[in-house]
Amino acid sequence: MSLIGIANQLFLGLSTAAIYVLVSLGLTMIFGMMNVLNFTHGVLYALGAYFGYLVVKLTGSFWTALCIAPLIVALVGLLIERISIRPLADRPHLIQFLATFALALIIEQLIRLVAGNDAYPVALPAGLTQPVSFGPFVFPSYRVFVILAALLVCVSLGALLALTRAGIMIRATSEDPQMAALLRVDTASVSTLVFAGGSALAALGGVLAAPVFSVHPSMGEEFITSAFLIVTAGGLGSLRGTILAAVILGEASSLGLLAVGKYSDVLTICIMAAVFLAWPTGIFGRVEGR
Amino acid sequence: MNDEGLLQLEDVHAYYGLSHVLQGVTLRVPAGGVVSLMGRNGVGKTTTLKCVFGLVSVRGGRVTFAGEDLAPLRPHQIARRGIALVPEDRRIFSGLSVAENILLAAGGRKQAIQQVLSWFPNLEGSLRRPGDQLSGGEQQMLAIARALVAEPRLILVDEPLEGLAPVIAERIEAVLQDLRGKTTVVLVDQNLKWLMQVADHHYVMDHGRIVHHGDSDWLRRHPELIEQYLGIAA
Repeated sequence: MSLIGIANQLFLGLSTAAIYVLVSLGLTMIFGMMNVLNFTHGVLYALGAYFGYLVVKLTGSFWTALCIAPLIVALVGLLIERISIRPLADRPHLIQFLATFALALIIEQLIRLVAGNDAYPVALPAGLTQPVSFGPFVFPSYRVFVILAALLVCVSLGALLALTRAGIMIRATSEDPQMAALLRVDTASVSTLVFAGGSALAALGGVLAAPVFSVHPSMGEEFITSAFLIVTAGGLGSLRGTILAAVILGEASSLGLLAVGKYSDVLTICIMAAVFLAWPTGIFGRVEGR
Repeated sequence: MNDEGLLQLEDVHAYYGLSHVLQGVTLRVPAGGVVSLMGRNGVGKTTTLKCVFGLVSVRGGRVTFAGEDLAPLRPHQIARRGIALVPEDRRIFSGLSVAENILLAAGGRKQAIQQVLSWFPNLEGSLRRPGDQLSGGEQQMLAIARALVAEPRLILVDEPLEGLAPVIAERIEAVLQDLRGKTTVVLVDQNLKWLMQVADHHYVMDHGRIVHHGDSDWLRRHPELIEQYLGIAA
């Protein structure tokens, strides 16, 4: 295999990791904040792709879809948080898992009822259809855009959490909600906003994934397993761990294709298993739970 | 003392699971007063403070602040009414720096940092350090500062001097002493000598009940109570 071939594969792995990052960041933020395993996150990703497809169809603009679909899904997230997450906040993880899993199945079936079982292709946005060259390397421009978009989200999220008052409130609520409340923070509202934000990130991932993977009803179900693997390997609730684990999974999956072809999934699982053997609570995981 | 207390607990009963930990606590904290809550470990002092914020389930009785029943309010709403708690275990946010801990408590008011440094100059070199890298004394100073920058009408302080080096304890004593007349204070501590100096009125607890109460002179006249309920010779 040539150096260019390996570089291409690394690049494709990075662009897949970029979508993993967007989806998994929301999942890990929700866990870190609310201590809830949210299985509806996969369908929120799918809903983002479907709403994105719909907006592109209605307006002809991918960029409009990129702005509107996450907002719509954030509202859906607010609803899910009220009816399913908040009432179960103090229940065991198994109960939360089963409840959100059931809700995810219901939403997926609703998608099938409304949109059918077919896959819908979403065209690449205008201006990002041609490949771009970096010296001897040629990459699809849309995938470069996806990587840059994920990078922008990571930097913005990092700045929000580190530099703003809202970020301080989010970090405090995530660490010790009771003490944050004693310092006058409305922790329930902070949690709700984080859930809505996490849902919007999943939807953003869905819209960005639509031109790459197409839009189909089980896309969320396929993605949620990887997302859970990533947030657990990174350390539940850790943003930097999630980003690192997403890159490891994306690259393992992409380079695995190059190395072992159709057995790449086996290789990916082996690599993630090695991560868990080395860091049983995840790469940046806390030794003790909350 | 005014007849109507700023904070009043009337026949409060509280439970941890099936354990009946507060068995009819009644106390009154007048506006501007400094009140102490005394008793051996495990008699319900900390639980009494937690009841004010609804952090333990109150199954009987009433907790009122400035005449308002606190039962329907959530902890952040109670805090916004003007009550601050300095918990025994300090609960400094380890993921936030000292400055961020202060800003969070002060609602983002940046001048609060200078205010805190005027009380506790020792914290100046630690403003950027994460909360979990502070010594016990620094954590206690920060915990008290966090409560004070919210400019509360009532501050509940649980074991502020426990395990501190004398020099830090003196600084904290001075800051709390300075609150006299400005803020209403409820103090829980084992340091009887200090409590008798700083507090106007003392409540003695045993087995989840207030068994005696009175001012410092009354307490001095009843050394047998101190020995019986606090386990120390007066």
